Amino acid sequence: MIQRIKFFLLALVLLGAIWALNKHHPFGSSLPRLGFLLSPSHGFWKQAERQTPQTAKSIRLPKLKSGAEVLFDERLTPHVFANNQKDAAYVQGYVTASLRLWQMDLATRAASGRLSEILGEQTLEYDRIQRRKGMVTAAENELSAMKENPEEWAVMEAYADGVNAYIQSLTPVDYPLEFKLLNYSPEPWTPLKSALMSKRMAETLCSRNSDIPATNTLRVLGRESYDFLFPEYNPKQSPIIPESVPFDFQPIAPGTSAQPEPAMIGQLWRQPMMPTPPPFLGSNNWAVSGAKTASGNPILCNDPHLDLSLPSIWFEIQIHTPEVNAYGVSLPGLPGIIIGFNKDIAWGVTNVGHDVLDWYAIKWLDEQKSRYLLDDQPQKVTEVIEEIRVAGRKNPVLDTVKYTVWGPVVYDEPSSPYYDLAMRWLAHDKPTGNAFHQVGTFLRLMKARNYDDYSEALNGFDTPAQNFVFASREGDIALKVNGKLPVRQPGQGRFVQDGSFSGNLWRQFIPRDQIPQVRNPERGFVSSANQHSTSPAYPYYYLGDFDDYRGRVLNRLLEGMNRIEAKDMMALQFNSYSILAEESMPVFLGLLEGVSMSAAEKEGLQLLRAWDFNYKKTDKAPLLHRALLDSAYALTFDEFFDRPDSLAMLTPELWRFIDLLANHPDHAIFDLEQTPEKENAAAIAQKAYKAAVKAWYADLKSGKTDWGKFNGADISHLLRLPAFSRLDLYTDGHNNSLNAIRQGHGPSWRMIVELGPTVKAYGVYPGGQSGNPGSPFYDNMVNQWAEGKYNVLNFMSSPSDKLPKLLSTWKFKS
Amino acid sequence: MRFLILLAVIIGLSFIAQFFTPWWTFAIVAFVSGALLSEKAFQAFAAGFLGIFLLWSAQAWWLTIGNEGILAAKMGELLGGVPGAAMPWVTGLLGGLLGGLGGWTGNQAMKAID
Repeated sequence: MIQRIKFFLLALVLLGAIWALNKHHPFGSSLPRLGFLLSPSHGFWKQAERQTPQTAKSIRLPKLKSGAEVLFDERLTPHVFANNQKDAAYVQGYVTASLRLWQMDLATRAASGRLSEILGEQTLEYDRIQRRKGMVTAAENELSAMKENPEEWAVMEAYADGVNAYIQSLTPVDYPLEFKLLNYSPEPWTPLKSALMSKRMAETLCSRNSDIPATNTLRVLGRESYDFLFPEYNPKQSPIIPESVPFDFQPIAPGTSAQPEPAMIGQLWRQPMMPTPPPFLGSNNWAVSGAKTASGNPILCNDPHLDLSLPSIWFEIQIHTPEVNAYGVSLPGLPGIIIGFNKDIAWGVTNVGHDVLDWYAIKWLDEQKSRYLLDDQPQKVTEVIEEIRVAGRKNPVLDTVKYTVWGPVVYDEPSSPYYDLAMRWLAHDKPTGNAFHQVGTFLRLMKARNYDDYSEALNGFDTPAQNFVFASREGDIALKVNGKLPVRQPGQGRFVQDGSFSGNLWRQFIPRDQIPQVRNPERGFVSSANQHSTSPAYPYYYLGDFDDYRGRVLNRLLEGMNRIEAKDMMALQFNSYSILAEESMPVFLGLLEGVSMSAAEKEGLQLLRAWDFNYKKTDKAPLLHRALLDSAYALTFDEFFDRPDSLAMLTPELWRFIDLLANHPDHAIFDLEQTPEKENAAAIAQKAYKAAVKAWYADLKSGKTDWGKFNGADISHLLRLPAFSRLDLYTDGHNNSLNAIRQGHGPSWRMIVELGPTVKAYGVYPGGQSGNPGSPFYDNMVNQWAEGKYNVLNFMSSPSDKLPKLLSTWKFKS
Repeated sequence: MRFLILLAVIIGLSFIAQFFTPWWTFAIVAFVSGALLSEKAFQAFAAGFLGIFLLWSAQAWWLTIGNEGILAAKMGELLGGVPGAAMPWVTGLLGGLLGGLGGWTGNQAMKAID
């Protein structure tokens, strides 16, 4: 009897242990499936890849039309050799999935608001907003347009087939590590997921807006003060299209009767702001003509700045078919190459800051919010019920999203029974009127041979609008501010608009031949760094989020450069000079003139005086300058921060702030709310400087003794797991300089291409080709990137070309 | 001698089984081997523990050497600060404990039937 009890108890312990070790999050803990995870033939050890990957592999892909071959070079860049475009997309899908599958899954979940299925409650609110923004609707609209173009659709399907062929080759022990950690399986890939990737980029690049805080700010300040603090154009701006380029065309009329004044809305908007992409995102690109280079060949450069992450946002690839031979970076999840070159041309992109997201106040006619007013007529909303599945919950969370003529109602506040905000976003629109679309644009750029091909390719690209830079072996350089941009009434879209008046709809878009563009300008270079597209002379009104410093420093430096070589371009991409520092420092020093100071304050002043306005990692002055600028800004605009009514407010741009300090030192904005005295710019500067020296000393004490230690670039894993991230990288840069490294943001790919009899290309990105944290190719380029070093890109013309090192060859058969 | 046979059976069968069965099959192997081949409870536990400990830590060592310890270090950090070099031992220990428990339970099963 005792024996039986003993056995029974032991058996219970054994089964219990197996159960607990086999369960994800046992007993409500956050533990993974520990037994599975540690088992050397099942769990994480399967992802402990050998330093040298297996050399040869033969793969059968049933849908392949004819054979294909992939050669992996020393950095694991695949060189795809296929016999037609469809096969190339098929193999691209397979190869990309083999290295980046989990990232592709996560990105599409994040886009479509399906993170909670795997991450639980913590992402529920995020998912809800994604659904309310209509991300899936936007992707479906894009997809329906692509279906109308047989070439594009075939490529989308082939890519999905390739990804699926890879997924089908896996058993659960082969799943990428993160699937094991989060305990779920990859789903089949679909063209819709590729379209979601494209909308994810649109979300990152063209969903910034400030209508709501701008409206609040206008209400609080009044029109006069608002216009004074928020001028739309910096007179020192150096626009993308040189001012010498004439706009000799007849602009079309907006066709709207929009009211730029939000007078009739008459209320403050207390809704929380929809999370918008961080303001540090931006990019640089430029091309210099042969007249300015040592070799006489044009050179094209591009460094898109994005959230830095591991796995990296970019994936390097070469695609070779009888019609195409292109090299560059792709986005995992989308067929084709986004930024790259072939033997004849090179192209690159930076973001266009035009605002293409407007908010409209809906006047509800009932408390159930089922009908709203439009031009004195009642309108019914279309209700879409979103079902959000949440890990750990039995039943899905249901959310009813109301679609109006403007777009989805993103917020419906119970506390505001008669007014809500609907979102009008260009990325929702089905692309119409183009023979082909986004994927078609990049397929055409990949095989373009000259300016005309480039120009034709861009006709299919609507959104997110990009500054497409171009250079050709024939010697052309060009740049087009390319995309679909609404024709606005002057001022339209700066503030929340009346949603009960259809005159506020966008009705026209700038015709493609009237978009800002430049070809072979006198100055010998074209460039963009997210600044204003044009001077105010451009006949169309546009507003948006534009950079004020990088474009100016870029144009100034390029102007002065001659006999340029690739290494000069590398130095330029890594340049950390700041015009913000150059312009603000003398103003501050002037305001601090003759003020009595402590020894520490005097020492700080000497440091600032000696500064060359570079944000090098070893520099110490930028720490104090940052503290001074932040502190002075916070004191000056004290009216805007920590408001008792916690209203979201718009804050003035930095260039305007410096301008106010220098040219309007006695303006009322400098007066502090909390003191009886009346402060001016000098008083603010002195107060700010004393606070800054204290903050600077605190930085020094906490070990942040120079800029590199303070700014420490962070490349976080997509799940924010520090163990899989590269944090606190010691490197140069500032978001107002060309090398725009700012904590978790910065140059996500640096590329330099010199066209000529043979193409010479260089590139680097802060990551590695493999998405597997257990691979030596997960982060092998990070240190190089932090030091401003480049790889020579292996641009092959045939599979028999010699590579510095051939890591492996995959042969595909049908 | 009996111990060595038991050990060899557990290691051999678990090694083969792991490639096409769930991760916990080795516990069943240790249970059955313990039931059919062991003499004493401690012997069954020790063979199960040692067998799976050796099997798992050896495999983990083999993999981490080829990987130059990259993933072991990251997973160790993720699992609460285990040094990467200790990860194969931790792996072996977890498998070993479950293997030992399996062997011991198997041994007791026979005694319960008797």
